Amino acid sequence: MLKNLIKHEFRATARILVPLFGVALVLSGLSWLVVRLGGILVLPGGTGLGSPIFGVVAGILVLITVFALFALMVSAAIITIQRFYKNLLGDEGYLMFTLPVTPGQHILAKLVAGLAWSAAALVFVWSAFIAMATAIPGSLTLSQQMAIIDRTFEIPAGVFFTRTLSLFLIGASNFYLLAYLSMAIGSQRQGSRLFASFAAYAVLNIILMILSIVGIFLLACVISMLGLAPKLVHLINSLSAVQVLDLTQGVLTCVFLIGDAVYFFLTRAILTRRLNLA
Amino acid sequence: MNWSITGGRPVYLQLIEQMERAIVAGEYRAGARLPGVRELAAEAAVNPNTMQRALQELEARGLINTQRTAGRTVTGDEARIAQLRRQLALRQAAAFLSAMRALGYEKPETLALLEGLEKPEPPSAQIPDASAGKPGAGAGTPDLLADPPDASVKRQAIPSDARGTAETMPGISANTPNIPSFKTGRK
Amino acid sequence: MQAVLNCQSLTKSFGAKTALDHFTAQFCGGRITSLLGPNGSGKTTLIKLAAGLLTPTDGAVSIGGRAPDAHTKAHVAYLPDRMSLPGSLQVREAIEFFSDFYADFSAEKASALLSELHIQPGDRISAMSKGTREKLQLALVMSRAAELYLLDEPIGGVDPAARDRILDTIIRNYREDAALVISTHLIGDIEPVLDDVVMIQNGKPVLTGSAEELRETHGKSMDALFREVFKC
Repeated sequence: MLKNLIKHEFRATARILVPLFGVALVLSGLSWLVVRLGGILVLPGGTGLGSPIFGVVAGILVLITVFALFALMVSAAIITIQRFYKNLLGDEGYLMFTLPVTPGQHILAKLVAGLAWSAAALVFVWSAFIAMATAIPGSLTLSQQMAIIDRTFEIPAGVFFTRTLSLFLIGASNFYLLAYLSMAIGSQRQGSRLFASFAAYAVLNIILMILSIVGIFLLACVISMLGLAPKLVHLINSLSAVQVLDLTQGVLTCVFLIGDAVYFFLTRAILTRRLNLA
Repeated sequence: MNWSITGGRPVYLQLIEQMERAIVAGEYRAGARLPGVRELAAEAAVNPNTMQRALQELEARGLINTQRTAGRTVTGDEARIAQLRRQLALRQAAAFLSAMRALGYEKPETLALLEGLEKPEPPSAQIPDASAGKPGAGAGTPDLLADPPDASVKRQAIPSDARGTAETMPGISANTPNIPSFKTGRK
Repeated sequence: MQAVLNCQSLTKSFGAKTALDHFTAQFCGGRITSLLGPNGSGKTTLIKLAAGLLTPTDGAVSIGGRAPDAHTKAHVAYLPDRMSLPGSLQVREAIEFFSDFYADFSAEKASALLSELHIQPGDRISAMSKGTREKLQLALVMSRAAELYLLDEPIGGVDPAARDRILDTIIRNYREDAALVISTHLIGDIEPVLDDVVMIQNGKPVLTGSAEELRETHGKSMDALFREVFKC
């Protein structure tokens, strides 16, 4: 059943997102071409076909492309969130919540689809940037760029990208699940559900901020009380840059995962026990 | 088959009645396959359980046969159908006579009326001057029940083709001189 | 007779308002029951509770002995009182959707039914008229061989000819041993189709029983009885 849900999720969201990817692809392709051409036609010494107008056009095109890539990332997020609201909390909810499927499965299906699109968007954006970078004549080749990453982070470039992507996805899941929870809370109101959802989101964020501050404060208190401060400082100083990054990623991942679980279970509880369709 | 189910009367009785009429009228021929319960129920826009009940009753009355494989069929027994036809006809006739009685027509008068109906005349043969040509009508009593055998102008209920003309009137008067107990001032 | 749908002292309140008040009734397999009542009497609330779209404030509702959950929903065919299919879908995609999620759904039956209703597989839902959309939803629901059919106002807001069509579709296609619960305020059209009647007012049942018995006892049609019971 979950597979079927996910399949239909992709179908419904692909309708809008695939064309967007298409547009971004076309723009990126054009930009790449333009930059490449401009590069080829520039003679050593900085002159060539690169007349000012050409340069301006190329520049604008690249700008639009960057904008489109950014919009792609944002669209994936917006579509994912809007999908939850429309499909589960609107009239379509009368269909969805009478399917032989649990509310938890509904949440998961939408999250999985949303994360897939976000991942696809991120990879697309990376690829586009790298491609355009290599298009500029005199710039580094692909393998050269990868080598730089290797050296900087002391891990193979592939691993670097994978880890960054997974951290991104965990963070994205946190963002989406919090949005889902806000909308579930907002749906408890009879009228102005959209407004209530935004309000809930704001309130939840404030609560999280307070919790973080309190949490860090408590942690600091505990550390100082136990006299662990000197040991900790020594520990951190002994770590290499890479290890610090690893540690940071590890901590963030844990925090996000805990948040994910909390949001998920709360949302599921609301949709199971307090379903309130318009 | 036009079903007409109304509220107020038990549905299954109405179904039985209408099916009997359909059998007699030949809409469901002797020996013919009947559609399934659901199909019939959907046609009549009634509950399949109710239709089932009606069909079972019809079977009990010998009008329908059920076979395991072939489903339901109208009985092939022509005699049975003829019997049903007569039954329904009698019922209809009795109802007609009692309706006529309520209008003041006893059985003989009703029969006379029906005789007059035998030769239906075209509507153009009006009788606007029939009362003028029948002095008896004018001299007769204003009694509402008075029905001079030779003038039916006052009878609004009679369909136009039964409105007597000068031709048929004599026929009636010739045939009914012996009608007893008919209030008429002309006696 | 085994009750497919069982309501025991079922109560649902929305804040201060009580939509269903200690409602008790059983709905048995093989019988067509109508929930009759004016607007706001609690009919839709009861159906939503049975469909698993609401949770009771008090009392219990059970289907085949189970509280509504993903398992019961596999055997319950629900027709909402509004359009719930995504507008961007084509008819054939809607059929595929139902096939994917409901084991008791027959795609062939649905296709046949839809072509009788002059609805083409390639039609897009957003391009259909309201009446056609409702027929589509009905056809999909009636193509399921469910144990319980919950039809919320299937003939409300539809022209008389379409009403006939809808009733015809319902009678022809429901699973024989299933319980059918139809909520409506249009008693006239539906009266001959009913086995049982539950008249509901202010969340409470006011008159229940077989349609035949009620007609005999009160000596009038359901329509007349309805007017009498729900006199304003």
